[in-house]
Amino acid sequence: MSKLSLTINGAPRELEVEPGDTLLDTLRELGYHGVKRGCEAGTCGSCVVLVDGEPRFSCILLSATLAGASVTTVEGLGSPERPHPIMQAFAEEAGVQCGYCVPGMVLSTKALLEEVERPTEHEVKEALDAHLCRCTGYVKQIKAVLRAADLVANVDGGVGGGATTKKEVG
Amino acid sequence: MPELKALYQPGTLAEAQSLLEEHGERARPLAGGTSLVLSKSAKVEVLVDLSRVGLDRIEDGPGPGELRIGAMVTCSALRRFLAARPPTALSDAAGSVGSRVLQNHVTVGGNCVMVYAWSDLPVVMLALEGTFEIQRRAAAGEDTRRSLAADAFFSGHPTRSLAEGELVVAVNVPGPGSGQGSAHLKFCRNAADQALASASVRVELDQGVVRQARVVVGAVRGLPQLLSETSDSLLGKEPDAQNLSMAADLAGREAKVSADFKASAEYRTQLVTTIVEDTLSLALSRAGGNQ
Repeated sequence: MSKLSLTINGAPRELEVEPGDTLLDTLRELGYHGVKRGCEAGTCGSCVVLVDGEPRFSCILLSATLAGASVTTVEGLGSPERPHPIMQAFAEEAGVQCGYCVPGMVLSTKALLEEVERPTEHEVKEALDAHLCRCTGYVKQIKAVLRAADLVANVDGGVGGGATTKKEVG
Repeated sequence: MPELKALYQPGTLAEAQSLLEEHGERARPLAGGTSLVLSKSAKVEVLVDLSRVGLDRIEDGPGPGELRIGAMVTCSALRRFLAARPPTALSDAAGSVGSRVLQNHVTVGGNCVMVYAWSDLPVVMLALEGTFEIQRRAAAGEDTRRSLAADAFFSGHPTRSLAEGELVVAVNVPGPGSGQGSAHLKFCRNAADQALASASVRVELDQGVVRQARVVVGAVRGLPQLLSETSDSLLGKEPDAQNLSMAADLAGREAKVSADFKASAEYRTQLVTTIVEDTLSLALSRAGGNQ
């Protein structure tokens, strides 16, 4: 066991981890069950979380490498009572059926909208290309991301209907 | 990683190399981890994480337009860096490795050293005549560096040709010269699938004639293959549809392909023909705009 300091959903945490623990294991043991266990091979996207703002497969990331990192799970974005606009868009556009893939998709959407305020449909497809969904056929989820862009822009006080703009990313 | 006992996060390359030396056979350097973390090998007891040793920079290399890309630069960092420049085989590949999320994990060094049949960057490195900077910590504590051309680096599997204690610290990729264009394409069954065939091509046009060509195919057998006959067949020719089609047919005959449960040898050969023609065509159109 070794000590690990990192931030999860904005809160500083001191953890004890084994060298082989994946971030997926660590987060689920802490009760972040929005992080789903799927293929465990970096393919299906259900375990995706944000690490320093970037979507990463938590199933192939060793927790011990994340000293000082900032991790965001879907729980960090909103709750059923106070959903994030991205969650709201997924619900309104019926982008959720069984829901297993959705936390990962919501987080990849968050990263996309940080980088591109008004993504094109092609950019949305690229941003979701790591996420397998066996229910919906993706059409409604792509619509959900486009709607999320509208909602987020309005929440942030941004102007709608503009061209794609890229923000600085690290 | 069933037997993993320790993970180190050194802050310098020298420290990382000392740790690897100290733990010898039981230790492995950790880059993006996409192959290593999934490894069920019981031999790996110690991991030395290279993410904090300063190998994550992209700099100008010594040659014109040349880039020196740190071994720990991720595909997404490379994709973003190259986004403002004219497209090349390198930018094509950086943006097509696995999925967008995987590109946040996979490193340039890791993708080349741990080359799988379907890996993209090794194919590009061969086509663009990249070189690898390899560093070794000598017993006396003095570092020695050597540079290895991609042809030599991929003549066998790099994990076997690197000597004990040697680490790839950077790759150098020459910039596109005047009249040159390059492209990388691959064929997958879906957006995030492993390629069934890929091709990287660099061509140079001079007064409407092909002066130089390097045609490399990947994903059809264990390691990427430079197709010398196919490349040479284009020299001195006009890049018209008939010549491209002839080169593509020759590529289908020259490439050695393997069969597996995803594709028969005949099918892969057909894919090689198609993808070489498409990639040549794209590289030539880029070369045309760079004269």
